[in-house]
Amino acid sequence: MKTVKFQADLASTDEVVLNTLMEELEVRSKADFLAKALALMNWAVKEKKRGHRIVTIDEQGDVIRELVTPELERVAPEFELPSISTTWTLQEVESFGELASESQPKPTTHLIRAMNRR
Amino acid sequence: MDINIRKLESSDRTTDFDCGDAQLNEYLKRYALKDQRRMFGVTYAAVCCEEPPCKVIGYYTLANTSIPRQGLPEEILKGTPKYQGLPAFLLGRLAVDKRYQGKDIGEVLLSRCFEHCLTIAKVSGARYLITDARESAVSWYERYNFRTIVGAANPDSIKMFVDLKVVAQAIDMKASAATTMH
Repeated sequence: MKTVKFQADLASTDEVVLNTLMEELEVRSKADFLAKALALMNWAVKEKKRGHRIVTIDEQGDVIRELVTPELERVAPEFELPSISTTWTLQEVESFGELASESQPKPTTHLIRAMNRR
Repeated sequence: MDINIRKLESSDRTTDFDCGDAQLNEYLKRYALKDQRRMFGVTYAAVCCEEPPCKVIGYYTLANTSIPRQGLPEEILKGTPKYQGLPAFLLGRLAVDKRYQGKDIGEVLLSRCFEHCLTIAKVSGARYLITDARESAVSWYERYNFRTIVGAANPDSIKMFVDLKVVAQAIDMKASAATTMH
């Protein structure tokens, strides 16, 4: 894989945090640490794009803290959808109305599998 | 193979995409980005980014739509604004490159589409996802609780819908408790 050189100036206090984290995470090089930090930030951005919040949850499953940063708040969810009109025959509308009024079939095995793939 | 699903980007490689349907291929290659820029539709692409540029191996398009009020029973229209149709989502297209078919990528795309709809439904109030399916794809959609609407003007464009309440029920249900739709 092609690599690029990267250089950064860090405050001395940040360097202490960096070294402590590298030790705690057993990450051997700064390049490796940066790659992992990048992957984590990338994941956070993707989750925000999906309209999700990033929270910590305690052992009981209760949300105890939400991660909110100005940078992540700038990530807009990718959910603005345009509106499209479609042509319906009267028979289609009536058929939909009839089917939608009925009690709906339970989720199929395929649907359950699809929705639990995450 | 690491697959990511996100909005289609101009740098994505679509040139060799081939799902076996010329119209769906052409849409991705020629119109998807244009429509996205003009807000006529949003295309979400399954991309493989092992080597840049990311290669599109599947996609779907999603938009808001509405179902005409005339002909709908009152029980469905109850509580909806009188001046507009019943709000719904439109899954315009869904396609997977032939070389990647049979690997559940269509299911992954559909599950992401459902996820999008459920998230947006929380703020927009739409309850149904509609699609215009090719006849050959009807049985595939039925596996995921889509129901066939009869009365199409064009026999190769069959409207189907799924109630997003059923999709929401499926989340976290165990597969063993499922029933198969007939």
